[in-house]
Amino acid sequence: MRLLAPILANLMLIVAAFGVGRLLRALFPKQFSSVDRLATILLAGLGLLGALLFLIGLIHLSLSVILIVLLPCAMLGVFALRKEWPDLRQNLRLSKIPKLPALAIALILLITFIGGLAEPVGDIKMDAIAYHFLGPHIWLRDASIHVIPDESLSAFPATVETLYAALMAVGGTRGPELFAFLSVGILLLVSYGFAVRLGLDTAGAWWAIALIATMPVVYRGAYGGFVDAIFSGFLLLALRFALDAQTSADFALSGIFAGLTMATKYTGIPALVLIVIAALALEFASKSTISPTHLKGLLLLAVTACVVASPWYLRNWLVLGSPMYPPPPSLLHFFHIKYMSPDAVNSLAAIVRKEGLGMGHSFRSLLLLPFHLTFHPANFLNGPGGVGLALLALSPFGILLRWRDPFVGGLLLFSVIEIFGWFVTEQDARFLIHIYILLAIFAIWGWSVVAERSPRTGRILSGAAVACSILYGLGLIVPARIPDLHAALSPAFEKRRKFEEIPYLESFSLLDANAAAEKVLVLEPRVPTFYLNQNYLKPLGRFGEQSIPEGNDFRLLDGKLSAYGITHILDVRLDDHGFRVPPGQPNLQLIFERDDQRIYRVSPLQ
Amino acid sequence: MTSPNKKSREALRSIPSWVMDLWIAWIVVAFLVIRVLGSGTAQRLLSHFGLRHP
Repeated sequence: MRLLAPILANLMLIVAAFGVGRLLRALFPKQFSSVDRLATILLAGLGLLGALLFLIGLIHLSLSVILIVLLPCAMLGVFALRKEWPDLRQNLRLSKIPKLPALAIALILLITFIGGLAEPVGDIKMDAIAYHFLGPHIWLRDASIHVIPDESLSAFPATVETLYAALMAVGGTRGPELFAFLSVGILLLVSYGFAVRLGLDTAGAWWAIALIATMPVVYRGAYGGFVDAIFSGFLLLALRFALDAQTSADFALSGIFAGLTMATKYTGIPALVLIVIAALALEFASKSTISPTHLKGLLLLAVTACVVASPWYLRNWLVLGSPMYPPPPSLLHFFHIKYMSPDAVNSLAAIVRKEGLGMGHSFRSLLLLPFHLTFHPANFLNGPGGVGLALLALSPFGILLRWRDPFVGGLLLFSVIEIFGWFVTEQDARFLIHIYILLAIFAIWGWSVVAERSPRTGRILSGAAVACSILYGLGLIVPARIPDLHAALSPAFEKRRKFEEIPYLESFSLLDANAAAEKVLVLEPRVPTFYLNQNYLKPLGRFGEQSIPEGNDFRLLDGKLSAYGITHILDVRLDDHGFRVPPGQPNLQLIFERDDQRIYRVSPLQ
Repeated sequence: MTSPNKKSREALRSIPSWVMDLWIAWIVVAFLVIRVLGSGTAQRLLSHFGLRHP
């Protein structure tokens, strides 16, 4: 049962997504392959389910509500699968699959599946613990999706996090961890379809997705709560459909995915602009003019995208004061926001700039970017492991071969502007996953060119480049997941790991077991409250978010504990900060103490 | 694989095959040295030519 619940939760979600996604089949282009249909149905279904659950969850979110939504959708999914199965079975023949790339992909999927069955651990420096999983945890505790004033990043668009809430409700905290298996699988389906659209045959497409699956940076964006793989899947489909669009249905389908991109990360907003620019440029390059029909289509795309993404942005605007929250400093001129001072917003922006500095913003760094990403990826945020060497070694030849194709021209225009935007803003390696996917496809084209032009040396060297990339990626990814695999397979190890890697676990366990602990005051901003099941008040967040006017100054809070309904206080010592509650408080009774953690019970007389 | 643009294929023919081989070979060797062997000498050499963050 420990492992069955998360498996069933993910199975129910993906079947439900199939049911919902297939409702869009009227918009699908006729030339869709089976893989295209599957990828589009699953991603659209996941995105639309996330949007639906978000809208319902604003009013009420509980296990029963989630099941009321998911079970009928799953039944619809079973019906849809029966309809699609004959076509899928006919086109997915195992005999056509090249063995070596399939083996690498199978290994990645296997470790992702087993590793996904481990419970999340770690401190608040991990984004999953800090906000990706925190939001769903608190929404389920409070039975509604609401803002979390002390964690501003939980106000990011939350299509995937809403799905995490559903998985957590049905399958516990392992549910969203196992979602990584779906993320990787669906991203590879999208990539395969894209590779075929770019002209690769079956074998070439398999090698391309083997390169993609074994890129440590791509993999990093797909597990441990990260939403980047799903984001890139949405974006690639939006871009592809926009560049191929002929009819209103095509533009609308692209708009739905562009909207889901914006509803997953703020970086989806510039991506929408770039998609429209690339589609306009492609139309102009092909026909030397832009027809009014095409302009109308792109308008439909943009409007559809904005409508799909609007729930998150409207909620933030109405509740927090700005559609983007936390806002970039420039938006402070137009919006007055809650819970964060201008200083806090500026400090957060400075942290983002500092962490996203990468290899610097000079022109020289821009020219050397492909080399830096290949040889020194660890200098970029979330870059360790990198993207292998095949992209640098082979994709230039693939691009030279294919760039005259107008579709490829549109892709290159999109990529160049996006890379430049990424370079001058935040150089987080995860943010370019979709670009690495495109480059991997061009790398396989490059491999074919080199093998043709230089049948002996070139064939050996390009094969070595691909082999080194895949083996190096596997050599980094597999060891990184071994602790998760061990935890999933050994309850004893998992228990020990939780004790070692979850800070203040004893305090969390004690408070959760204490029915009288109705509301806990957490004074230290960096306490990972994801692990605390009781209701709590954190007056000050990691980035200066202030959920109450007093902040976390205990002298100001002391007289107001009962007004805030505080029954217990969790006080911890972290880094250079000592305990925040002064000793000898007459209204507080120390009921638990360790070197770095104390729990007080607030006197009922207070 | 489907046939890409003929002009591009002809343009690629103007690149001598040894140039392609050399381009791939140095990247494979550099990758193996830097990423796999992690050689300090290689790191210093790259720094000298500005290919590594100081």
